[in-house]
Amino acid sequence: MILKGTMILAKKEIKDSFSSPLIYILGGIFSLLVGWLFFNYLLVSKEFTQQTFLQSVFFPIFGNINYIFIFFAPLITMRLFAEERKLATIELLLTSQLTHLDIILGKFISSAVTVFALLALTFVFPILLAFSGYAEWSMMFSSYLGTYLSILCFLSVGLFASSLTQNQLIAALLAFSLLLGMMFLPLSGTVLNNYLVAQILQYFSVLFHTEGFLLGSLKSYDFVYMFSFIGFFLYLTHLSLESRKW
Amino acid sequence: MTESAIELFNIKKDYPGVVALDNISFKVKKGSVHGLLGPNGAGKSTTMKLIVGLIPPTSGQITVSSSIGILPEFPPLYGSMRVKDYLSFVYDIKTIHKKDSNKKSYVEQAIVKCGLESVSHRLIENLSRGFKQRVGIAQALVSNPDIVILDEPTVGLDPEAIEDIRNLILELKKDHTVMLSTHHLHEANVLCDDVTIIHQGKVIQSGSIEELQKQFQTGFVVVVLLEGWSVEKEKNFLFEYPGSKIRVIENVGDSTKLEISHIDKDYLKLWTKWLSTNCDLLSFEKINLTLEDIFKSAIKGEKR
Repeated sequence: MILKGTMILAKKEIKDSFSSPLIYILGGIFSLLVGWLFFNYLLVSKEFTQQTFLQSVFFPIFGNINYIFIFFAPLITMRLFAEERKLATIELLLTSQLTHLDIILGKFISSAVTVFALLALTFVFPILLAFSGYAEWSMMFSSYLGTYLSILCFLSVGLFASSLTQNQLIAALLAFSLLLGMMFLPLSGTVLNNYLVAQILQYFSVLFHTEGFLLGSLKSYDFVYMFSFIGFFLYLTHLSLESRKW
Repeated sequence: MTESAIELFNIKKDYPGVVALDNISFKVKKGSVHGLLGPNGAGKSTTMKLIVGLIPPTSGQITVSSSIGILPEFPPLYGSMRVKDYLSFVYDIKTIHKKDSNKKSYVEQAIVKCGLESVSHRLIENLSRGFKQRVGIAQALVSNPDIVILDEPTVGLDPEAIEDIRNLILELKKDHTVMLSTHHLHEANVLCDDVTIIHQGKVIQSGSIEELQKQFQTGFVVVVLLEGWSVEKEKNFLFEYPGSKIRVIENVGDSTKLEISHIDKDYLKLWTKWLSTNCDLLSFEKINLTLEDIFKSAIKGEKR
């Protein structure tokens, strides 16, 4: 039953996303940026003859994709709750038979599908390389998985930020600030000059947990971290919805 | 005894520093059109939100006999959706736990009931305000609820659209219990069987309009138009019927329009006889209190 409500909402949200010009603008910018990066890294890769394509081309590209989505994820999620609140359509959802979980998961899944569509635009690069004999597919898969999971973490932050306000711009800025703050977390550990604190702060960084995936090592604690991170922010979103009753 | 569709008992709703509703209690009869009247900020919308479970009460008990559809103050519409798709989506999310799958017929019924046939394939954002309001009502009806709650359904509409919505509400009465909030007293007078007057978070009065008229109108008021009225005749009249009050409304040529009232005695027949004997009585009309009079009196806490 939970899945049914979630899927009804997710379907509607996906339709909304793909009928909005924003996704196409973001898709265009993303393709341009990643295409340009791919071309450049491919040219430079000639100089690193001892490195594989994955090391010299894809590692930096996946790293950059993560940074790009620190900007893009808030733009994708900003309208999800803020618009509902502004248009008062949130009352329609809350008086329906959808549970908070249905609403939150439905919106999260729709943004995840949107991101997957954007990420799918980059599938052309490994396919191109496959024609020239590239065959490290397991590494490629784990890199995509890690990148996708880290972007899902960003989306959960964006969803939470969107639930706090009815202004989409404020929602996007709030999410962006939170993500930027998380990105700088490991740096502040270094500044403190304390190894233990630096390690702890680094552990809380999403990008730290993505590195393992890029290196092809799928560690259970990275999965636990990613899913806990997403779960935590979705729970905060639930609390934010609940706070309407306070 | 008539069965209740909605029953509120000692409902209190506090927000930090504000008491929005202060121990309100009233019942909505099954099959009736019940008006929730009150000035802006009286607590009408809060009461409706409590009934549909959007917010919980601080204390008290709400009993709702069956399913509810609500049109909030601002119709919850997705502008980028087509009317039919929107109603279909609303049906889906309101009937997740329902097993029968007559979606198409329910959506069609809501479209027909609300007169949306001509715009069912249009984007909601391109519709006029009147049609948007109709779509809002259709979304409240699409899951075929027994109770329909309409929060200020005619606010901001042009006179023609208001008339259409009022006719629609009267149509709804045939199949649903309707509860509507309004501050248009004429509207409540036309549409409602019962009313509850809320002021500053308290229920001032609740009951049928007739009951309230009886309750507030403890005396009798008539308006007469006659010729040959004079101060002397007024003195004689008051001497004959002590306790009566006379107010001259206007003098038009030789004729005079008067309001005659008495606080508790029914002198209607005697007054008519005296006036027709002593003057040329042109017209005689007993006045009932309008809802507006009741509302004003209730707010002031007095009886006429």
